[in-house]
Amino acid sequence: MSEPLIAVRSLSKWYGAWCALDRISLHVKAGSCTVLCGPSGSGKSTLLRCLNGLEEWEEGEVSIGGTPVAHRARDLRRLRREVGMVFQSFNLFPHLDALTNVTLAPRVVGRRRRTEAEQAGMALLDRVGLAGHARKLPADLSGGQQQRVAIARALAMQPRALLFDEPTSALDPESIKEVLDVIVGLAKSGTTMVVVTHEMGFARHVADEVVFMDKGRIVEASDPDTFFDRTVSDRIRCFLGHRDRAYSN
Amino acid sequence: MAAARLHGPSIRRRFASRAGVLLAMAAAHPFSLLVTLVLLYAAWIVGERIVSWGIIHATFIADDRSGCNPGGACWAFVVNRLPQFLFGFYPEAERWRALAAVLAPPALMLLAVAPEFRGRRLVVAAGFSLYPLLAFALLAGGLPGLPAVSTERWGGLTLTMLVGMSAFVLSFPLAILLALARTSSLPALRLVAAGFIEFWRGLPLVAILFMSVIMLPLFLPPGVEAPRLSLALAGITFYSAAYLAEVVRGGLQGIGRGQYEAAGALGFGFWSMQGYVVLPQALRSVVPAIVNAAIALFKDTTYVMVVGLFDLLNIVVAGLSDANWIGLAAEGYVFVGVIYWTICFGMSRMSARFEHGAQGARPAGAAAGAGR
Amino acid sequence: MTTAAADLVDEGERAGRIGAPRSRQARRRRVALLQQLVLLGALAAVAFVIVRNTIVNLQARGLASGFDFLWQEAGFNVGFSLIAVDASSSYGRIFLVGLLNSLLVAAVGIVAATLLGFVIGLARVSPNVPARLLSKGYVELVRNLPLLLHLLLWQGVILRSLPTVREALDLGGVAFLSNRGLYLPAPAAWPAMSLLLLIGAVVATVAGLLLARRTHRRQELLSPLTAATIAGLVLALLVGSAAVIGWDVPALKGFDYRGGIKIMPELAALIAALTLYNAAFIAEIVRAGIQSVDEGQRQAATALGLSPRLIMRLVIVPQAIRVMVPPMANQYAHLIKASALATVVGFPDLVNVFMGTSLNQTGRAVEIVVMTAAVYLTLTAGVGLVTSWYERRVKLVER
Repeated sequence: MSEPLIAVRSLSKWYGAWCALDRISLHVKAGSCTVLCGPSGSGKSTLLRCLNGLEEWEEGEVSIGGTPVAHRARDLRRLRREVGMVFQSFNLFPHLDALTNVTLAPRVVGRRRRTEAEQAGMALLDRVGLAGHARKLPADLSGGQQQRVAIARALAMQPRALLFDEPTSALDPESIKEVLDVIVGLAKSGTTMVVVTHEMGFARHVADEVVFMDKGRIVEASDPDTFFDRTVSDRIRCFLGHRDRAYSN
Repeated sequence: MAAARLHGPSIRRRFASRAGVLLAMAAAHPFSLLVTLVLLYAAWIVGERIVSWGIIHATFIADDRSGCNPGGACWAFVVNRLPQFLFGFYPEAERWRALAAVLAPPALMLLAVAPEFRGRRLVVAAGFSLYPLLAFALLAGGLPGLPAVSTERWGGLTLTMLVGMSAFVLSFPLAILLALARTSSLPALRLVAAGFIEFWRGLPLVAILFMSVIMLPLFLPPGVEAPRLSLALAGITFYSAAYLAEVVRGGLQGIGRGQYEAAGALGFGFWSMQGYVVLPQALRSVVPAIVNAAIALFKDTTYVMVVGLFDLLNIVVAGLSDANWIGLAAEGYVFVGVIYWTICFGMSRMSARFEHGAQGARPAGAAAGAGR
Repeated sequence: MTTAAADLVDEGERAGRIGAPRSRQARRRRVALLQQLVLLGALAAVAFVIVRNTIVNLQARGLASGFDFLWQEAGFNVGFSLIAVDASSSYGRIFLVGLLNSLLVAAVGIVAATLLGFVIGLARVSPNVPARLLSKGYVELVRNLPLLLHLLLWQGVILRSLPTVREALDLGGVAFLSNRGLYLPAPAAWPAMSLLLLIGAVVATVAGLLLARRTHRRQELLSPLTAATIAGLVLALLVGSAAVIGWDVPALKGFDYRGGIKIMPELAALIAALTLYNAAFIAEIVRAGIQSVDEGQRQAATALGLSPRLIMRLVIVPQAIRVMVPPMANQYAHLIKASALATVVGFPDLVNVFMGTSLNQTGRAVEIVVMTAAVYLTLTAGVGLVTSWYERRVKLVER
């Protein structure tokens, strides 16, 4: 089945006169992991947020599972049940404990019963390694733990695809690994995901396709081997080399 | 040499008695010492007068003014008229109904700060929201088993509790709607809400009460009569809603955009987002200000006296004109003062407890809340 | 660009602009407009019903409408007024009298409450323990009692225990205090000399303020000697001006004092209650403002060698004032509105004479209510505007 789960067609977005996204076209196959990378301001986060309707665009089309994303409130809500999102700053609900964070949407939006939702929620927390922290408030959890709860929360709605917006950028180095491990686990289990990240090692390890963006355009979209070793683009080479050089010595 | 000087004072402090230290401090600040002595002396004089008048030479039991010791307070006045102060002109046989209406709010508030028990939140919330309707029904009667009692006969502490609690409970949902409207993206909604809020906040409560009693009957369909109590209650409710709306709006402004985005990403609609994610956080963050507003509202219930309702204060004022108890204004007002002070101070202590207990609660800013 | 990417771009251009979002945005704007129109329509409908009911009810009660009553004779006199008024004054004049009385109460109350509030507020943060405790006791006691109770206490208890007119307290032979009021001398004759001296005092004050501003701009401190000299000059001119005026001193004639100004006990009770009550809140505002200044500021200033008094004046208070002004202005707005309590004690303020007596006599409920509401809304809006202006002016540019 080669019908892409997420299809973006000639997407364009302007902030006033400045073009944030310039005729972006992208296909994400079901079960694949796509990594969006690029310098700051390249539009990768903006593109990601268009995929679940958090951002609006001026031209082009986005469709999930064949259905175009319209901006009517009702359709958006239906769409967002299909696509989950994990944010850079976690955005957990501070007044609820970890388990309630995970089960709130299934109970309220998905209308599941509390016992059922809590069972599923505990299973998810277990999957991200936080079963023992179910009753803790976000303020009592470390950054890495909070982000893992956020991942469990996004998974609780059983979405068809997961979007990650720089999931580890707000974490200290120790926590980064624990979160990346969870994401790698998800990728290996076949979850469709689009990840915006700066973690190139992780990208190389887990991505099925790496998409490099610069100044609102897609410069290259290829498999990891091609991207990291055999790219013909000077821009990409500079970007990758820049990163290596920054931390060598 | 330097080492000796550095150690010198600490040795001295170790050996000096506490009195010695105080003397040293006093000697260093003679003006402060003088002020201290003057204040202590004044406090002693005033305190002694109060205790002597209020307790030592006071009379608690008497039939009328002449039975009271002239050198002390005549508390017999309060004791004799206590039923009227508490229940107004409510018929004696039905006084239990008024008593229930008076005791319910403090009971609910104590439940709210009591140790956690299962279902506490539901009980307290239900109790508060149903109080206006139930108390009104209970006091008004007209149902089988409850003979009807006209609102003209309601008074005293009963009326104060009823008005205060009902106004607060009724204004709360209105305040939330107004705050949401004022922060809405629709300009018309924003303007209307802002206009409403500024209107009710900009007028004195006295004027609002006059307006309610005079103008509201004109707005009603011809022939429809509303008791004065309801009209006054409507005015106070709108007044309270405007103030509470600003408090809630302050809380809403503290909620980060990420919360809205996260809830939106999970598929929450506007109202479920507000109800489960935004408002719980917003309200929690402004609890001290809300309690301040509640305290101010409770004090403001005394204003109903200007439209002829007999709340606790007014009924004591009325009692002062009794021929048997002439010239006992001091005793009457002190009694009222004690009751108000206890309740208001108690509420502010509750809020302080909540502030310290809640995790991550924002500390109250400079003079948070109404200075009413 | 790789071939894969080129394919995607071509495909995108071929697919065209399906469901162009620009029209989506236009549609959303239309929906929002529709929602607002529905809202306004509903409000208009409610307003229509209310207005219709009002007209019918007014007609049923035989009440007239219109603002012409403002020129009619009121037929009642007012116990206290800053301008000339008698029983033949028009309702319009009565409105002015009430308004001026309200403003007088508010102005005096604001000044007195601020002064007292600052003293108590500073006591709240003073190192002197009894001062701290007593001021905290004062604030907690006063704040938790209703303002109306304060008012009745003053009127019914404290002022009533003043001596009778026959045994009035003699204050320096020119003023007298009794339970019927405070009698002060009133200016009867204004010789030109006094006016000249008064103008001189004003000029000296303005000059002093300008000098202070100039030194402040230069980041210097006005020397205490200069400040004292200017203050002394202003004071001397004022005293001289007052001394030259022909004063009408109250004197006991028959059952009451004649001549001079009489401050009725109602006014005194109102001002006393408003002052003491609001001073407690202002004290808390002052305390919170001072405590809001970071402790590090005080430490840095001490490390620089400044004395505690200078630290307070130059470092703490300027920063504290910034924080204090908005809640203080809010308190002033409350005070202005609280002046309406005059109705309870019978002092003729705006609500009492206009919304009370005048409304009862003319029945022009709508017109009178609208006028009274307009006054108070203007006053509170004015306070709000001044606050906004001040906040904008002293906005700290933070990093």
